[in-house]
Amino acid sequence: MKIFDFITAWVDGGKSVPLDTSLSGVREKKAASPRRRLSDRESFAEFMKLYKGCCIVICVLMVVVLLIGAVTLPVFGDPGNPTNNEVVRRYVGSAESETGVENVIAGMILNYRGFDTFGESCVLFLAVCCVMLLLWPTSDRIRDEQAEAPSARAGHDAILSCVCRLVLPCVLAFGVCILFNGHISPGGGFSGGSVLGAALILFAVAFGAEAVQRFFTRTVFNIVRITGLMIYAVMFGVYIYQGANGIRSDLAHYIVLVIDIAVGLVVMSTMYGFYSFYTKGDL
Amino acid sequence: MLDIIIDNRYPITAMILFVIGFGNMMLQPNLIKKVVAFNVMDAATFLLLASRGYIAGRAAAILTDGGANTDLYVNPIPAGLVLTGIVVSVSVSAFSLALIQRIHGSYGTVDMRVLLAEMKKREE
Amino acid sequence: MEKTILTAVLVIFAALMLCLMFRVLKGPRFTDRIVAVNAINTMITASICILARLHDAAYLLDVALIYALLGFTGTTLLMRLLSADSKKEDTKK
Repeated sequence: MKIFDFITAWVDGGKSVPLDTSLSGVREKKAASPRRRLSDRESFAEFMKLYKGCCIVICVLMVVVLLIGAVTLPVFGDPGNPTNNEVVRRYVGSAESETGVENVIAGMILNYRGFDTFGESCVLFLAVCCVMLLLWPTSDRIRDEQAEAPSARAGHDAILSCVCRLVLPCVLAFGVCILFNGHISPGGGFSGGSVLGAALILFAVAFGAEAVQRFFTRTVFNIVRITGLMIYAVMFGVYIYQGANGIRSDLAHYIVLVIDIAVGLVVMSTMYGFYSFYTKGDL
Repeated sequence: MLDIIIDNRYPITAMILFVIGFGNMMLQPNLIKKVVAFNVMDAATFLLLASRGYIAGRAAAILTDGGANTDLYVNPIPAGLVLTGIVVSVSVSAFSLALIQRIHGSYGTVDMRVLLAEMKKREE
Repeated sequence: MEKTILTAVLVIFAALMLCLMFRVLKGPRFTDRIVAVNAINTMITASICILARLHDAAYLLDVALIYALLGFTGTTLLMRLLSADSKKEDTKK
């Protein structure tokens, strides 16, 4: 059955496993033998076939159920949807006066639902800590596997370094523009920080990681991350202490800008930190 | 029937993508492809959430008149949910990839069947 | 009139992207897939710009810029990995 073989080969990733082919789930003619206790390998093969069959059945069922549900969803783009209730009118109507910003989404995530964004920053911080725990080179782990990581010890590519010399200042300026304009236009901390992080990664790829080490050492990395999170924690601690009934609206404009910059710097260091941990192991 | 599909094209695309991602995550033996399929599932969820906020004929939620007329703007709340979701998705993907890198360092493979066989061999 | 032309261009881009997906799935070598993904990225950047004109939304041009940057970074990193792999094989031999 050519189609079944094709599907199986696609599911198996197209690679031929160097081990026993009975693991791949292709239907093979088993020699007619009396019923004996299945060995370990054969029972595993049977389980894999059953697993794949069940997965395909579950996926088909899921598609059918979800599509039936999609048809019963409220009409797309209708102003009378249940999601457009009085909460939206309050947020959009009072955003400028209560939060001091014109970008309603920025005002919402940093003021009305600010604790949620605080949780997100904690999640980012924790993710970097966990990746650091896993990939930091310690003395009892063989360092050869990371010393061989070739992408970190990059050679000097002429085309790449020429292009990046022209392009990177523009990218950095663009990132800073998105970051600082988060409260009056689409943008903000997360997107600005991502663009700055991508610019740092491109810098590291084009000029080598040593060039980044000149200004972005481990100390700077730690300081930026911890300061970003602490600014958040202090501000929202004060907010709770004052009764959690709205930041003073004359200060709100500046508070949103400061929080945006803090979040942007944290996201930038997170992005570059991930790249550096995956290629080199340390920062 | 066709006009229902075209009216609801964003949720339907999101659901099909979700099931594609889910199926791949279950069935692919390569661990990195599982992480990629997980990201596809996440993208589908964000598409579904973000499309709930669109209102036809209105502009994006950047206030130009100080919020006097709330009927000119799109619903911004689902976009806030998507922001949180994106951050969580990135963090989980980063952590899984770090785990996969450690697995590769210890066992020399990222194919799950070879990995299971190797683990069994080391147990004995 | 302009709206019809732009929508037709978007449909053509979508059809071309489907053709490129075929090369991504089939490409017997690693480099075939990298080239196809790079071409898809270019087409997506162009599509976002056309959408910005269709919906009269200036912020989508920012999105197109960011997408182009990230696509370029991704392709560069993939090529770096490829050249490093081939260098490692050379030194091993």
